[in-house]
Amino acid sequence: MKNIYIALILVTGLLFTQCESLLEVNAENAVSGDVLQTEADFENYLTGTYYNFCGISDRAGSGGELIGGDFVIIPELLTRVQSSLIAYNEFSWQAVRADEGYNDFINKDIFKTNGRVESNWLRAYETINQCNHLLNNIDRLEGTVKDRIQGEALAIRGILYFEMAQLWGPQYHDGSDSYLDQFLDPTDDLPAVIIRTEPVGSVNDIETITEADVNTLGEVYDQAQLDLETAAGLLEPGDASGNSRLTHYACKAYLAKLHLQKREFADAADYADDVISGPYSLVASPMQAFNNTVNSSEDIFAIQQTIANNTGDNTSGGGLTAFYSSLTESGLGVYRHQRSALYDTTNLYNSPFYSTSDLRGTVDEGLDSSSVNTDLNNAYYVSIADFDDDRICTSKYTSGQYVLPVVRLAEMYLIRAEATYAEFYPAVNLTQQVIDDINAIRTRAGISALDLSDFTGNEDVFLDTLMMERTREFMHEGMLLEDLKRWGDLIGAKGGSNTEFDPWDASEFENPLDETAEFMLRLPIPQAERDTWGN
Amino acid sequence: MRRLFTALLCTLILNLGFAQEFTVSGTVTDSETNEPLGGVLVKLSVGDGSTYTDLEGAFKLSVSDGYENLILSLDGYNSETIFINGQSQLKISLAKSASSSKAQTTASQLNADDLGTQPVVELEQATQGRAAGVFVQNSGGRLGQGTKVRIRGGSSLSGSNDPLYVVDGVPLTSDNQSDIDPSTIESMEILKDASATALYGSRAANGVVLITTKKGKSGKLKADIEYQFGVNQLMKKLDMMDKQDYEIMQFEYTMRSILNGLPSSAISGVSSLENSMTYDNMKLWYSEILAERAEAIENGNQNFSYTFPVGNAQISSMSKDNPIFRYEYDTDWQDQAFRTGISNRANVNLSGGSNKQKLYANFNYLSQEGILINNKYDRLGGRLNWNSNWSDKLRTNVSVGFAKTDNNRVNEDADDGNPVQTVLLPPGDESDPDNFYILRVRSSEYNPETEVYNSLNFETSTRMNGSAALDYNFAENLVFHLDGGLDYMDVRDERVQGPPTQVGAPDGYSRLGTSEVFNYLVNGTLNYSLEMGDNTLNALVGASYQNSNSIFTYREYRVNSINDLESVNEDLLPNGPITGSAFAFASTFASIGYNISDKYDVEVTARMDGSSRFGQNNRVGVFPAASFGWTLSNESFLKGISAISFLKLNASYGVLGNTPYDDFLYRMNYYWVKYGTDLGYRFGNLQNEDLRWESTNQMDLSLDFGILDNRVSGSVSYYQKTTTDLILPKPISMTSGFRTGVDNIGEMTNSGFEFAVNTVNVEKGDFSWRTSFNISSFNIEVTDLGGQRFISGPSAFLEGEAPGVFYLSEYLGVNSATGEAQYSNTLGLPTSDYNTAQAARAPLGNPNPKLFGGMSNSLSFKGFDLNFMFQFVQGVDAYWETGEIIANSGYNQYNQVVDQNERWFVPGDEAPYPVMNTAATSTNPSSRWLVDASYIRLKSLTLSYSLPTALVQKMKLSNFSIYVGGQNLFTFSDYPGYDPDVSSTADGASAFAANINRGIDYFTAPQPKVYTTGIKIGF
Repeated sequence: MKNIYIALILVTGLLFTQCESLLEVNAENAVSGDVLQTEADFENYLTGTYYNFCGISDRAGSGGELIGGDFVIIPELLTRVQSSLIAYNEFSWQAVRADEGYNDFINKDIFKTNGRVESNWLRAYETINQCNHLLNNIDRLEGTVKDRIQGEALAIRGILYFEMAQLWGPQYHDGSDSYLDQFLDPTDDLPAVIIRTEPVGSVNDIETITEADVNTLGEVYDQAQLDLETAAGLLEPGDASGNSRLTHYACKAYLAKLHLQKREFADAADYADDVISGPYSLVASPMQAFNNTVNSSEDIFAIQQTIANNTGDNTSGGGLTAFYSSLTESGLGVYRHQRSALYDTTNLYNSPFYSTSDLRGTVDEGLDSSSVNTDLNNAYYVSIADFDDDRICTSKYTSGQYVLPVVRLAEMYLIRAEATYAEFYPAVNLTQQVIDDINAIRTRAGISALDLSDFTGNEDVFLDTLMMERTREFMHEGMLLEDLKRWGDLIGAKGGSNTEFDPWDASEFENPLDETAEFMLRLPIPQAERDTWGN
Repeated sequence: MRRLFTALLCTLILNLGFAQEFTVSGTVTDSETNEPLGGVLVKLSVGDGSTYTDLEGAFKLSVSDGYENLILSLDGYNSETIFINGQSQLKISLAKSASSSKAQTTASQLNADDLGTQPVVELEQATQGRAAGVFVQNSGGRLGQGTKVRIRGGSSLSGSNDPLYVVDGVPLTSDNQSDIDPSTIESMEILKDASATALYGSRAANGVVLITTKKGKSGKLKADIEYQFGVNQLMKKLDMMDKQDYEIMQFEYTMRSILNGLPSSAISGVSSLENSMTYDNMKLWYSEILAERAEAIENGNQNFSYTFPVGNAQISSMSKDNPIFRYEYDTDWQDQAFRTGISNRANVNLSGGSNKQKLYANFNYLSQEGILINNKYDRLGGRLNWNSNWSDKLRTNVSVGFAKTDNNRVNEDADDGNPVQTVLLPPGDESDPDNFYILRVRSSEYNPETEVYNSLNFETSTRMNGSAALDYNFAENLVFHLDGGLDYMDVRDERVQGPPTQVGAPDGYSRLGTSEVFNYLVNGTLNYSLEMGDNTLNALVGASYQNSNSIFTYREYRVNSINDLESVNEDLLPNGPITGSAFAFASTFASIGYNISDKYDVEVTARMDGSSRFGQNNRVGVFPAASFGWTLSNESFLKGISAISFLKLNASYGVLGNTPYDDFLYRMNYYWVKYGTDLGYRFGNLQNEDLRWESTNQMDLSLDFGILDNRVSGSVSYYQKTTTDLILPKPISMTSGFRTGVDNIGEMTNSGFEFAVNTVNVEKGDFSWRTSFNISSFNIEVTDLGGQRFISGPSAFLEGEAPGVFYLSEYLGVNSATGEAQYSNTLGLPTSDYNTAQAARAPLGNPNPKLFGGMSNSLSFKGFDLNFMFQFVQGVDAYWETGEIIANSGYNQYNQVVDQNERWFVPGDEAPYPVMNTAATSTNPSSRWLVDASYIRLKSLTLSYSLPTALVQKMKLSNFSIYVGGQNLFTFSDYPGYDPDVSSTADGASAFAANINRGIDYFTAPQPKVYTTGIKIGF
């Protein structure tokens, strides 16, 4: 019988072994639960936040490249015209090599079900959520590390809210700008996107959203501004060249962009001035600003890429290199610019009208399918995907292994020029510094310097000159949309027709997605998002 | 060995010590074969006396007076209790135990003979058609790449629906069962109902396959060797267009492109031909054009011209080198992709031992060439089983299996480089072996051969599973059982795509993945039985713990060899370390059974299952089950009916839990990613700390019967299952950073009938004929998805429909005026606008069969045995996605099956297939390719001859037989593709994908037709 007792004790022992500890298992390399514990965790978390923010491709085809892709491509497509009439055609788009969602931007009719809108919406909030997790736990750190990580997380969140306000919202107008008043009702109270500042970690934390929870454009701009200002205060000024992270100056550069877009010109000029007096310098020629293995001296913020980790190339199928490059080894050659649209067309708005001496408009001829990015010497090259002499590709983004400039010092010069000039608009303020700023960009591009006297008595015309310079300098960088919105200008000929296209007029749209008349090329809140909302 | 003998000696001495006045002796034989049985435990029902039979089956035992009960027991045989009744000489025979006689089991039993000679790589394939309620679907003719087994249709949508495989008591993970050589299997038992599976708990929600490997038999060392030679062939060729048909199609493609406004070559005025473009006319024009071209070449001209006999159409200055007139070759691409494969298989079984120590060893080798080029599978395996009866109290059992495989794989169905895709190439073209197998005419186009011959796709694995068990009888009615098992797997997957391939350009692309799985478990039970007159009480308490841990590594880079890949600096690789997998189960269970007079059985089981896949609050689930059995044939009112030998009614009800497929959904998880060269965390999923078990309620009724002296026996069952709390992704606001979060939503139901019968048709002298037949049906439906729909390709989960229902635009034939394909729009009216029709997708087909089963016959006459098995599946739909490419009116100039010659050509044609659409940018999936995949197949046939015993003994052998046979010899089916028994799923697809995408054939290779011959010799 003794044996029985032993057995019973054994079995009872086994019964009680079902304690929690036996079920506490973990997987190799797992990062789970409340991971923000050590300084190293915060650093890793922040790096992962940059990964999302920069739109590094996950090669799963899910898209959402944000500032590393669609936040450039989408505005570029929205402002360019595709027409079967050559005279009105700016570019060709090889639709079969790209997500079909891009066609909506070319057609200027954006469906709520658009997959690109959805994937960027999603990844922006994924990034913001990571920022919020960092910020919510930031008190676990202390000292300079805390300030830096908090500053960078705020900067990322601020930039995303600013970019989302621009894409999902109309031109900001609070009714105090007499220029915008001419054609735009105030927009600051219009719903734009949703502001999230608290982290979400559990499915059970999600509260039902209703239409009323969508924040107004004014609120979103305010949040962006607050985040960037706080970040600029937390991040130390100092030498930032070669830095792959957001810095004090990057925050100020974005604040300059933000105030410029709100037409708060005095603030814009001040911030641009701060950045220009920082540690950056213009590179000698426009070509040197791109295709670098490390940040150039004029990169205020640039995305770090490697051959295996980048925003997209010929193997992953998304991102700037994949679309803009037609080099066999690096891109898919989706976007080819109509050569004539760069130099001489009279039927198109917004052409850069490059002169023959402009280094930003030169073309490499005679490449072949074995050509690689190091063979390129000029701003453009004849498209390798089809060797059609009329179709040319930009040399700005030729390989996924180079850093991808996001904010360059050149932009700060042109912001300072514009903001100073337009500070009291419609009264103009054309000073020698404005002329010097624009000349800094012109002369390194190989075109003539302007003289203040050129505009004597004719100061109004300078605005067109300035905007033209922005168009030339930032071709294919997706900046035209904000310029057009800021100044209420027209896009050009609408696809398939030769009439000019007024984005300020909702009746122009075949599928007006917004009930309000201020649709104006905004991206819609995705249908899949709205489907999860309550009433 | 020394210790072993010491133990033997001890037992012997022990027995001698109890010598008393009366000695009973006897022999024990097998009731069927009359062969002596060694190693039978013979013990007195009262007191300590016991012994084992020797090799001749003889035993001697001292007893007190000769009026006592002897209990005889041997693994695999029914125990017998014999009243000595004063006799000193006994002759006793033991009958092999049939399926477990427990009341509650709804089990299907397969024994070694069912599995033995089939040339299958995976043992899952061997079960096809042999067990009621078990639906087996092959993933095709690619070797070693998985087979789907669904017992009673599955019970989850997002979780695994694979049954649990238990080898000698060790539940396996990670498909390890596939590498168990069928020749080492003694028997397989398939448990299906809730109470039978209650012992295995949550892991058993999809049924359990219990595999018992062969054990040593006492006696002198016996060796069996078997060698098998097989020839694998393509069972069916598709009837593809020949060179001429293809060229006319290509010619039409060029002309219709011009009609569709695509860039014109040198053909003008085509619109004037539009109404004359019949097949015959085009054939005529094309032959005349070729004649013009030949003449130009003869005259040394570069160009030629042609004026069409109708309209104003002309070809002027066409280059003689224009590809569409340059198809100079005649290739049967199926001959390029498929080949005759040779397979060799050998195994050696060694068995022997003493009464108390038995050893079994197996070594097996398999080398199989697939029917697809470059596809080869080699396996070297072995197994060692050691059973010991240390005393009548202590028994141990050790089992170790080992397998090493090398697999030259074929790329997945939808991937570039799947050789089956060669069917889409033009028959007038040819691969150039001296130029990377690039096509000679259409040199810039994809050629699967280029991919195959310039790539490496190699997997090598090492797998082991072992277990050790001990049983200790504390007392006659109290048995303690303890076992532990370990299951280990190490897989290395190498892929290189060379520079000439699509993905490999320009520098090559290499990928290397490794995985290592460690899975161990311990089980302990204490079993108490008590006899009270005619009644027996059985009680069992137990606990089990399983822990599984997997480690994965993965790297990829643009290099052209695995060596180069391995030396790439870690910093440069995309992303960071891959998260492994880990889970643990801890369970306690208890059951009480009560049997009254062998008439009524009641058993109640309760389990507590803890799983690491849930958060603290919901880790443990409680799952009860109860069963009741009524052996009617033991009732007096049936005793008189001689026709009924056995009749038993079983009923059971139970609840089982199912865990999610992913390990840690209850908590937040992060991926390792890289920004620049820095590693970082990317949020992977939101946590759901409230996630709880999916639970399946299952009711089962069955009747087991044996009539006419058990000449006819079988069972019929009915079951009903409802699974609630299905774990599924739920859409959430994307402002959380995620589209979905997992939650318990949804419900599905399933009910079905199963019928199995075994008959002895003739048993006369040397001739016998036996038949087994089974047929099953089930009706499975997703009843609730919380209002959601899940759509994946042509398949869907929809409320009110079967899981994986085909959800497609409905194809309504051809508009005879325009030739366009028509589809049903939202109002059910025909439209040619596919996009409108796409919005009107409807559930149109079911990948779950209405009926399936099999019939096997076994005839023997003297030394001859003939076994053949038919297997059938009826009322099942498949989506022949291959048809989108090769049966789509010449889509994208791909070669077509020959019936596409009946496409629409000119207005008024009442054609079964639409006009060629050169402007199509999508294949437009629709019910056009939804087909009936019912079939009846002669799955296996074996004729064997065993030499007569006398002759064999003269040769100093124990047996000698030879056989010839085959597999998949005939198939009766209307299926348009290669093989109706396929389902293409990408390797490594999630459980969700595997559950939703079923019955889809996208360039899926057919199973081979196999001819085998073999020899078995026993020493």
